[in-house]
Amino acid sequence: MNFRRTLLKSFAGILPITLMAKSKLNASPNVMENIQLSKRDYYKELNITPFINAAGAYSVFGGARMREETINAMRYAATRKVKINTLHDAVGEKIAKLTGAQAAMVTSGATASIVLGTAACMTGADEKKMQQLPDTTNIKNEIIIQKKHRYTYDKALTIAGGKLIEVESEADIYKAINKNTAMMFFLKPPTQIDDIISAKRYLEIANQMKIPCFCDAATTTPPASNVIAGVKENFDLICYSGGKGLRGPYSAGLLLGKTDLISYARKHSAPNDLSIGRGMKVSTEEYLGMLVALETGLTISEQEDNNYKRIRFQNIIRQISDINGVKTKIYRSESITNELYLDLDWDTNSIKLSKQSFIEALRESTPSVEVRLLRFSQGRIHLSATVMNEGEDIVVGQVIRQVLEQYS
Amino acid sequence: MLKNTSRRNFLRGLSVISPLSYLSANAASINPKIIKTPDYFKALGVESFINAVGPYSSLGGAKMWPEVIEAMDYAITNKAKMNDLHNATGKRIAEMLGAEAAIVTSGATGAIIQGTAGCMTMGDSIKNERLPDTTGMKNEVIILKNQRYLYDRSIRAPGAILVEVNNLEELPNAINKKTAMLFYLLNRPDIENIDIETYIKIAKQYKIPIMCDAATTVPPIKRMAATIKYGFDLVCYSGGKGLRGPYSAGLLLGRKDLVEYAKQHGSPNHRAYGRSMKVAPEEYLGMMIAVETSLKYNEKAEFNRQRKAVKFMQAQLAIIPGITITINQPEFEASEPYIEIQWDKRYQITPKELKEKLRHGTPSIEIRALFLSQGNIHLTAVMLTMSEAQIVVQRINTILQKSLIES
Repeated sequence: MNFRRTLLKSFAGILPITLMAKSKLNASPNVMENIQLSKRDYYKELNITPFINAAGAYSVFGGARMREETINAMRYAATRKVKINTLHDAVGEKIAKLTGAQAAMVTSGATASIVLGTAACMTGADEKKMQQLPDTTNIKNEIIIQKKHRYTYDKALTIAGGKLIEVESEADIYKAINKNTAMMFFLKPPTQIDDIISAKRYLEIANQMKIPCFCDAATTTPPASNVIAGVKENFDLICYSGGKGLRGPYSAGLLLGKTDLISYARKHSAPNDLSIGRGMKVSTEEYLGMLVALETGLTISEQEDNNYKRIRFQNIIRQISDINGVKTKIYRSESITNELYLDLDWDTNSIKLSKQSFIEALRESTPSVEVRLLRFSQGRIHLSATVMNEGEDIVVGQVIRQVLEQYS
Repeated sequence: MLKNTSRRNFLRGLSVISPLSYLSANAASINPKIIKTPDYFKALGVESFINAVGPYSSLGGAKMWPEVIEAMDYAITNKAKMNDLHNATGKRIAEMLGAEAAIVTSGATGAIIQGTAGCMTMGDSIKNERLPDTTGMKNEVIILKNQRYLYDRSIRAPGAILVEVNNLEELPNAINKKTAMLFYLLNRPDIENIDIETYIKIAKQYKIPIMCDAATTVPPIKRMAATIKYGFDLVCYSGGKGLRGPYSAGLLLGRKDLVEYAKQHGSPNHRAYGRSMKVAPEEYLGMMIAVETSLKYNEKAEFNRQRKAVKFMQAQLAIIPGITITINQPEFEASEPYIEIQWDKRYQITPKELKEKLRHGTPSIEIRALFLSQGNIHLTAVMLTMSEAQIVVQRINTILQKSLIES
């Protein structure tokens, strides 16, 4: 829709005929047809500076680039009314089937998955306790977490009233478990940290002590098939972000696991009026979009995704490879997601520019370009192509060229 | 497809770097991918239903304005930084409605939660981090006993404690150094007799922020500006109901400082109490356009459309012997006409049984919850087309006649 809009509006005069002709092929085949083309450029009206995201699917940058299939599914759901719980039941069942989980639900994001999953482990099926939260008087509220697993989002474990109990060894776990223990939490980061207690051993202890074990695997995709692999590890609950590696809706996430726990987590969530999670609303387009994002992700090979990214990188490289002293390399991160990055470096003798100044210069350019922050890339300049549209690569290359040439 | 080299030459030939708008155009056209949208709901076995009650959350909310859907489409395909979008849409909404400040939230509940949290912590980052543990904080929220309702549960979510008062005379005695906020629910004038101005005056006198939940008081849209003018410090609205915006969006309007404190409790701040109440780019923009479109909309025409449908149902049902139909138009609730149906003893069926039969028939028909209608059958036409209205009256007639035969 907007592709057509911007195409017709801004560049009819410049575009080669071939592009114009092909744009007609892109005419929306679906429900959006009856809606008038907008002549508005909302971001311009709001004075919002557009930017090209060469950094990755971060929440602050608006998350992932959804696939056309997902966007179309969201458009479909936006114009058709169904009962929320009926839709959620059907979508949950389908996601469970796709991933091999006993049960599944769509949440308003990985953080919501953690809040709702923790609440489920704290209250069980007891509706009176559900309504009492976050007051945990007479409710199990201790959450065991490895000290090394403390992170930004562990705040989510306390939202429903949970209390964190840190452990550093197996002996600590046994010592920490008591009648107030509600859950054992495990963080699975994309790059495995040196755990004192491995996932397997941690889960064994949890099972042995009959404590539900929750795994945050939010950032361990792509590929989407990592969800299937994660489910196979048999945590009682496991969660994923929807709007990042899975390329689903921005405010959507997944919670997968045991049927009983998922049913309690559902009770803790919207649209149930008396739930602690009533504010964490998920729309019909997000329920369906999340399902279609996962389904599409599972059918598209990692190879195909990587080819897309390689082409973006090659297009950037072509724009800058003849600049004296510039070195480029397509780099595969050694993590569970195998993410591809373009590593960019230059000889500071011929180009007198620090990496930090380079990042700032890209940000100040028109159009503005965001690349990964140095603290996330071990001080290197890394570009990501996961959120980059076709065509944006060439502009990114040109912006880089302009900045580097200024200092050489 | 054009070769890369020629594309490069083409682009290099431009004196300035192409603006982004060109790129999205280019992106779609170079590699056109036509996707037939499957009938997802059919494939999932999720059936459509007839909504004779209104844009309730559990029923998927309102029908969004076409303008809203289009704006959402724009925001999905055009990326912006979340904070830019959050700030810009909030500012614009505040301007349109005459509020000091505004933010888009994940719904009216999200607005209540963030607003209450803001009044408890007042921008103190250490306190922000501690919620929902409110030990040692101002954490009491005063509510009128006859205003207790389903959603006051959300006031407790970030750790507040509800303190009930019977009337405004009791209010000064209930206020103490732990009082974080006064709460007012704007939509039940039928069962209460509270002088809003006096309530607000007491709040100002004691310098306690006062929040108004006005979630269900639009349309008419003009009531929004009027409600803000009363002088509430914070006002909450649902986005996906009367305003016909995105389903999981809402508004928090009010005093600049309090809206700012509330904002600290929201997404995308990583450790905020409300980090999980995420709002998508398309929801920020869609909400803004919903307000804009509602302000321009001819409400009279929509009211007349509903009235026509309601009158049609009244006329069709009134000819059934032993049935009494009344048309109601509430003055303070969202101005939606509805009919109330009552029947005499010849029909051996309770309102509850009728409601269940409507729900479990094909297609399923949903009507107002009995606890919201004093146990009576209420039908609204907010979400009804004329042909759906016809199905509803036919089904009601059939069910009633069947109860006659069975008895």
